[in-house]
Amino acid sequence: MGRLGLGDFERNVLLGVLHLRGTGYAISIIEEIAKRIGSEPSLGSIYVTLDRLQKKGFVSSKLGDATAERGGKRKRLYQIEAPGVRALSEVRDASKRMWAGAPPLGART
Amino acid sequence: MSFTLRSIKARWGKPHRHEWEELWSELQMADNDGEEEAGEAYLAALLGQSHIVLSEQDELRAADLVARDHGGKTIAWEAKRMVRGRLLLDPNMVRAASTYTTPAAPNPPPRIGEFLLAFFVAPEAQEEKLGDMAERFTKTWLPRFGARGARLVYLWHALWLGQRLWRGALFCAAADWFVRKIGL
Repeated sequence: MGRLGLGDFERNVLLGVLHLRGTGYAISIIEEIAKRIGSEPSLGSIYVTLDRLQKKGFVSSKLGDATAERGGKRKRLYQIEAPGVRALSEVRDASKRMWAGAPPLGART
Repeated sequence: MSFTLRSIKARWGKPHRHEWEELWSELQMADNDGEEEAGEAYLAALLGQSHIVLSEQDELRAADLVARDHGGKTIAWEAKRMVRGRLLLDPNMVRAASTYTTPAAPNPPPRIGEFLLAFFVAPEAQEEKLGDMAERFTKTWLPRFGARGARLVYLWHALWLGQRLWRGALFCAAADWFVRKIGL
């Protein structure tokens, strides 16, 4: 994590929240990350990261509906906020700049 | 003639394979009173359908046995169908033909795990975290690991979520031990 204030895992979680468009909660974010990356993060790491992102103001949350499979307990739904979108955009731009002009990965330099 | 679980157990215990036919014919003799079905239910229990639970004093009458609820566990009609006819004489065939694997009640998350979570997690976050864990338990861990494994995984995650607290407690205990050891 550097000047952008977003680590790799935080970026993935934030992207998960962005993909789920305000309907994401801890379990669905885990499933989204697992679907796209192939490895499943643990619940504990997701909670810690979502807390941190919320403290930074990148995401906001509200309580949603309860379902029977959750034992009648409500979900906490996460929504990305403007600072979060900005941070993601900066990360993407930085990544693009780093990749620009790089030789193909298989080639020896 | 009437059967109770106690009388059947006293006489037969857990019958050997060659005794099934004799027991079956004896139960058939009581068919007119409907006691045969009660005997069938008990036989189903002997064959490994351990969710058929009756108290030993219960007199076995088919009419009330079949649909009565015993401590939240109901003897269902499927059990009757399954043990009817000749299949009953061959315990292996009964097992192979069993469609009776669905438990009467769904597996709930372990109470001790929920207690640990409630202990470790801040009150304002308890609802969603307990709900998330319950959903994960039902949707992911139960199908993947089975009931026992899922409970262990639940406990592991509950402990993991409380790691900050028990790590702090361990650190304090270690510090306390160290201070006592060096005699400060």
